[in-house]
Amino acid sequence: MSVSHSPPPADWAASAPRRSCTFLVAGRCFAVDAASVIEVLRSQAMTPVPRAHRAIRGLLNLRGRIVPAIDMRYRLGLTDMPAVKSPTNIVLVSGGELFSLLVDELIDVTDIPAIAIEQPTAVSEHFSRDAIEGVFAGPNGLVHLLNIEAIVSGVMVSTANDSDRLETHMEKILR
Amino acid sequence: MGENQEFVREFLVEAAENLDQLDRDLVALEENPRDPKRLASIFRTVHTIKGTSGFFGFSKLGAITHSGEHLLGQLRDGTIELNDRVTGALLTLVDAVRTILDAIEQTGSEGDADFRDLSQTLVRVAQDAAAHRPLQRSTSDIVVTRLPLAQLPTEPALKQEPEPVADSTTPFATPPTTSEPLPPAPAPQPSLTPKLPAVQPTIPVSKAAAEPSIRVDVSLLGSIVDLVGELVLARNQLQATVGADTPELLKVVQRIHSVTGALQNAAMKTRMQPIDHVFSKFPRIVRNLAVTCGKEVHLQIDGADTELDRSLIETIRDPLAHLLRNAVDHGIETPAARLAKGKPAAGRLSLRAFHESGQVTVEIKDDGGGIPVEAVRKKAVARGLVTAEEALALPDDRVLQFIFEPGFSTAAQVTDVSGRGVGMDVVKTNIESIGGTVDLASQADVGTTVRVRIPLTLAIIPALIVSSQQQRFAIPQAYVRELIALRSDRLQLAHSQPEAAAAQLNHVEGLEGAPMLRVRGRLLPLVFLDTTLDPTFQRATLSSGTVIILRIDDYEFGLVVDTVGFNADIVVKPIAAVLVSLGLYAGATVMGDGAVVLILDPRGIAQMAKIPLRPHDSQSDQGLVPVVSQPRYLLCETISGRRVAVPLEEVARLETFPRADLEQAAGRTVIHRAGRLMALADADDLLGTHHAQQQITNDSLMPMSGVERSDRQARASTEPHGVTAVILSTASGESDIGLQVQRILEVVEPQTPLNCSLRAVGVLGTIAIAGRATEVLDVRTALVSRAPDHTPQVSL
Repeated sequence: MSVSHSPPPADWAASAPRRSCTFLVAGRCFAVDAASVIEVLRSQAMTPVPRAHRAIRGLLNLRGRIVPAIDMRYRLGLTDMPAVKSPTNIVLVSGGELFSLLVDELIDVTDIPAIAIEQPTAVSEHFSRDAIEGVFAGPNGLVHLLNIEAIVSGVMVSTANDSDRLETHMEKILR
Repeated sequence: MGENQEFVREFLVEAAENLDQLDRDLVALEENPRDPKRLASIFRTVHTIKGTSGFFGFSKLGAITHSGEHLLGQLRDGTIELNDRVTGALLTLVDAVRTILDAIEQTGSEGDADFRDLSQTLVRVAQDAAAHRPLQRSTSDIVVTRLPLAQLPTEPALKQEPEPVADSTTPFATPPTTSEPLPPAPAPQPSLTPKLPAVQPTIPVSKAAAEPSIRVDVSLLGSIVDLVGELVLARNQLQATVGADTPELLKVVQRIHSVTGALQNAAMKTRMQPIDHVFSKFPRIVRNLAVTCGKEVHLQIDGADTELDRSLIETIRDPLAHLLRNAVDHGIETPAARLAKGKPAAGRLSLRAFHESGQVTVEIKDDGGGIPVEAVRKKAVARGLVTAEEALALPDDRVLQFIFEPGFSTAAQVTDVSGRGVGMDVVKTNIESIGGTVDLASQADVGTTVRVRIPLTLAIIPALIVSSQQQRFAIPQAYVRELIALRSDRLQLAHSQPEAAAAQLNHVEGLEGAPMLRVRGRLLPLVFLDTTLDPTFQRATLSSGTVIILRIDDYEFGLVVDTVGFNADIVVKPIAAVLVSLGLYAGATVMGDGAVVLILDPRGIAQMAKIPLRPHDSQSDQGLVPVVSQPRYLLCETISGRRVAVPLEEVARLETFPRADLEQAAGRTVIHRAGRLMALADADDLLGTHHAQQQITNDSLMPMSGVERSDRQARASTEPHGVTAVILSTASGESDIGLQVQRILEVVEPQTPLNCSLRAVGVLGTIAIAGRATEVLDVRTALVSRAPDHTPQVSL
């Protein structure tokens, strides 16, 4: 990533290439912003979280930090194909918290020219597209650009009880 | 400029701390107006702010602190003496400084507020005080009488004193009596303070110089604690891996073990802060409140150096402030009322913090009028919490608990101070959310004592590790009341004897549809952890398991788990917000093997299971309790293998000690626990040998021809878990006497009455338990009459 001391011109952001981390889920190619990615891990032991969103495969221990792993097959609704034996963890940060995306295989870190990113309406595929913010026709096929915040907010499950006051309080205590 | 801003920020942080110190010093000075050290400290602080503001060109700040310094200088030199006007003026100065500092922090400049009047006031107070000096009352008074400032007609400016924790941006009122406004005070002139060296733009000499310390980012400390936790895990794994065949390596590992342990301790200590961080605000708050309410209050603070986790310190600030406010506003009476009752005019308010059995206790005690129990009773009825008949039957201490109900206030009118904002229910909720408790005792005209107990830290909590469906979970011990083995016969009791508890069971099940468990005559709702966490789970049979009685607020319920593992101190780690929103988990922890274990939130579990919560001792609960209550006994096996029953009301607790912890003292076996010595008596010694013959016929468990010490020792030493003791209770709680037994068999509720004709020394009588005659130990007389080795015994 280039280092710039002066603010870029207004059109710079639009035209700058987006450095992205690309990966495979159920044979399809997806990408997330590489700047959010902390590290990539092999398959890890995980503790399931009962009653959580089905896409939350479990919690993993990343050097003492508790990181929820989001199974991208479930998150994207791509459960028709058999899962790989040992999925890869892409650990990234969203809203100050760490998450891991469980993907079939990491492909690459690549620059995607912003100008080549199209609206997702152009494609029609049979999976949930709420987290897809754009598509890009790459040399090896279509790449779906994912919005990390949308991925995370999509796995929110609230039991809708009235203990909100306590919860927010516990959150505060636990930093 | 950026560098300068850095300096300004540092100045602001430091000044904020200095202001807190000023607040404290000023109020303390009122108690002891001639304390030269306090005066010097105050003078130094004001002087420092003045000097630094001159350096940065903050002229308003310089001007008012200059005037304040002048006044303080006269105080220090003894030219004038401290009175309410002086203190009031100085406190107003502190507020003004705070206002300016806030403005600097937010806008970078001093803001538009005009403080010339304040400068003038300060100067005038100095002059007036000097003029009236002979009229000042004796400064030897320890209790300072605080007249409401509003009664001081010459100082209208002081009426405008801002709210206690002043982030006030209110401009100070203009004193109408002044003839002409003073010109803006000049920038600080070192020549006016001849006793001190010229103002230097250097880091001031303060308390910090004496106690070397550095500022560290809190998040950095957090990450250090996290990393140390990791290190501990790695160490554990290392220890498990290293075999005995490599002694050299083993030595190194042991060193790593001890160093890691020490490091963990040190790292945890970095999170600790003295409770003074909260307490330091209180003298000022109480002073202002007392003035507002027209009361005289003497606040005594003890144990401000008591340390606890910084995250907890933030949490207890508001609840404690609220309790203090209540004490001043509702508790302590007006001076006139107090004098009429024969009390001193000044009320005493004591704030005390101390460590007590792994917790921090904060006690707020006033000698005021107490909580009007009858008013609470009436209000509880009026609010429909209880019926009028129920209310009359409730004991006073139970009635007092109603003030923890949401929106409950007996205050006749809403005052500026109390009667709105956070109530006692929020105090309780806040304290309980961090695993603490709130106790309240009140006596008419004697006063009210509120005890807040809080854990030392939230980062590490004791927890019970349980498992359900092959998955481990942690339950914070703060909620756990009791563990009960779920046996098929107990369950049958609930299911196969519908006629016995028909009305109650049908009522409950019909109403709420929840399974219940009968525990000592009480019906508790049962929650099955497996089906709660996985609604699709189908249990084949319910044959085994453990019921964990959990208590939330005043409610109890049983949580059924597959197995109970062990107790552990766990490091609480936050979990993602998307998981917190489930409401089921309070966090997670990492076990010794590196695995992540979820910490259950019992409140969320209860809500998820939609169980009907029952107050553990309320009237409504008693409706479910069968009237007939048989005495119950704890059935134990002594070391010589005899079966004895101990009346359950005599038992406080059961405990197991490591054998190595036993000591001999004064011919008795004693054990050191929780800072005191407890005597252990052997149950066999109490019964005496003359029962041995009788025992043989009765006891098929362990036929023995006599009681041989060596046999007993051998038998006792085979017990792997150490010494099992029944801790006896006294009327006031737990005694210092433990009864040593081989093992605990069960709690029984015999159908036949106690036969008192079959009695002897140490034996209350005999009772049929499961078809066998069993001696009932007379604990009291046994302990008094029989000492080990039959030495003459003084009463216990």
